[in-house]
Amino acid sequence: MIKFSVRNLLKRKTRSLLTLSGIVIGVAMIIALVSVSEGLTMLATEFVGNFQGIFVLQKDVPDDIFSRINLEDAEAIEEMSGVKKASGQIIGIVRGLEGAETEIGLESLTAGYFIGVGPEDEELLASTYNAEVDKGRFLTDNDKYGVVIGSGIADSYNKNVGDKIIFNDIKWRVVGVFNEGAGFMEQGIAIPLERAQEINGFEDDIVTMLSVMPENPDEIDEVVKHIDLRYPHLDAYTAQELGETAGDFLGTIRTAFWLISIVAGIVGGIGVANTMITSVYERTKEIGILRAVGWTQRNIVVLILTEGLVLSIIGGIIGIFLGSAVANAIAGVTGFVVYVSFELVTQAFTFALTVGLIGGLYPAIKAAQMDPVTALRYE
Amino acid sequence: MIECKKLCKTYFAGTPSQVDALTDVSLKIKTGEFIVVTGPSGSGKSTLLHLLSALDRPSSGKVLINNKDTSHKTDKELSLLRRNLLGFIFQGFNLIPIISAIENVALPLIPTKTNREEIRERAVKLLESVGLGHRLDHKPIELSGGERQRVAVARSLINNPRMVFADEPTGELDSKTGRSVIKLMRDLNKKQKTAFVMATHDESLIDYAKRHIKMKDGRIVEDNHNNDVKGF
Repeated sequence: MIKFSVRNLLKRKTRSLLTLSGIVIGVAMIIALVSVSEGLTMLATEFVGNFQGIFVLQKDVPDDIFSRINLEDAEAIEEMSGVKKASGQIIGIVRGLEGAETEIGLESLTAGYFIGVGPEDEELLASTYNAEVDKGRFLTDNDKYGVVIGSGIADSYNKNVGDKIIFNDIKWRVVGVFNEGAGFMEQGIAIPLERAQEINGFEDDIVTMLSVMPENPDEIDEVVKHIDLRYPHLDAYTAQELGETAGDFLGTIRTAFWLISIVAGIVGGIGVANTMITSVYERTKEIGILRAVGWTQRNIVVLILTEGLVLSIIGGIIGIFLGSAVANAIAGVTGFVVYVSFELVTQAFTFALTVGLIGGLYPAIKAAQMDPVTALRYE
Repeated sequence: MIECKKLCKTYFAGTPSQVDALTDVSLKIKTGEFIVVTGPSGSGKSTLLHLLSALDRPSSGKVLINNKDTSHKTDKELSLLRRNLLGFIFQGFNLIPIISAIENVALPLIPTKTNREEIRERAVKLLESVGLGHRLDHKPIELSGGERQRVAVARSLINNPRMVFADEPTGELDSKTGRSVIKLMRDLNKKQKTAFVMATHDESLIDYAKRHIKMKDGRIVEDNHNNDVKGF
């Protein structure tokens, strides 16, 4: 029966291709859109790490990469009572690492991020990401183009202390390598704050975020409140709050992307149903013949549904690859991290099957209910 | 083997366009018979064949296949009767144009559990027996009218039916090709004891049948046995 269905589809190429394109577009859209939001979520989760202090960002920005803060605020915050230390950092995207395109494959997250830090931030990276220098040393004030790279990057690009490494059109020198198990920093690179400012085109007193360590960890909530009160243009978060805020925002994006995809899917589903209904009407006589030679109503339902499912499976697979390609293109152009998870692939594929099944069900039942004698007379 | 009792079929019942296609038709058909049903257009020949072959249900009366009443059978049971016991040949060949001759012949067995090799073997054998061994992979459009009807004959036989119904099988063929199709059917009737019930306008075919049923206005007006069957 499957072979017969496939033959039917192949014999009606144009119709099959039209139906297929509806499914492909729906699935590709899900993969492309949701992988962007999944990438952002993953990044936010890893970025927060297990930081014990306070993150300060510009008020009302959706992600830290959009935040801009003046270092004067860092100095002022450090003067506040209950604050042990406040320093500024810059998060940015590593582009053209060793001349390569920023690449994201299925189930992988290889687009690296750099973090612009000062020599005093060694402790910060250690406490936030468990990122400790395993080989070589941390950055000093003398390192103009010195960098400390994550173990993931060291492995992928076969780099060690003393090697040269190129990204963002700059030739750097590796002065240290972080340990394995450094979370966000495994694929990250610590670079001098000043270079990060230059890359991002910031003034020399602008950073994307501040990290604040309280004198007493038990008073962390008090310090957050004071910062929020005294600096209305800033938002202070504990790591947990930041994770939740980012989670809420990204959850909204994710929902929106899913909704858009589902609308696309419904349109695709209606398209499938439409082409299949037309196809069933065109094949009225053929269905009459099959009924006359002893095919049961169930056989007819199975035949039409199989055709729908075969199209869904093929459309689903093409859609997944096309969606991943689009996601890669988005990553390449915008620098967003995209993440095509196995779960997402499964969901998109299930979606394709559902569309094919529902789209095919009505025409299948319609076909099966035809009276054989009337169907045979159809011209 | 097939019997009908007081068979009636009415279309558009209770409306001004009501048509009594068949009225009180009773008939017995035994295994191995070769019957020609004649009558003018609208006399009820096709309707009778559709009812006897379980393609349609009567408005009243009964059809018994192997002594079993089919009137209360489900759609599935009727489909299986057609698949397992009966064959059908149509005037317009009714082949599926996008598939080859061999695939058309195999159609009735596709939803069954018969393995693919066996289906193919049987289809090849049948096409060879109707003289189309060299046309297996041709599509209907690549075949002549006579060849198409031979494919249809082969298809009607793939399930080893006990009885084959043929509705105007020569209607779209020239007389010479038509005769060759009738000869084919009669040979199969002789060799395999498959019963054939053939509806036709062509009264000259009466001489080739052992039994002739004549219909008019939905009723059987003559039912004669012919002891002097004409040869080919």
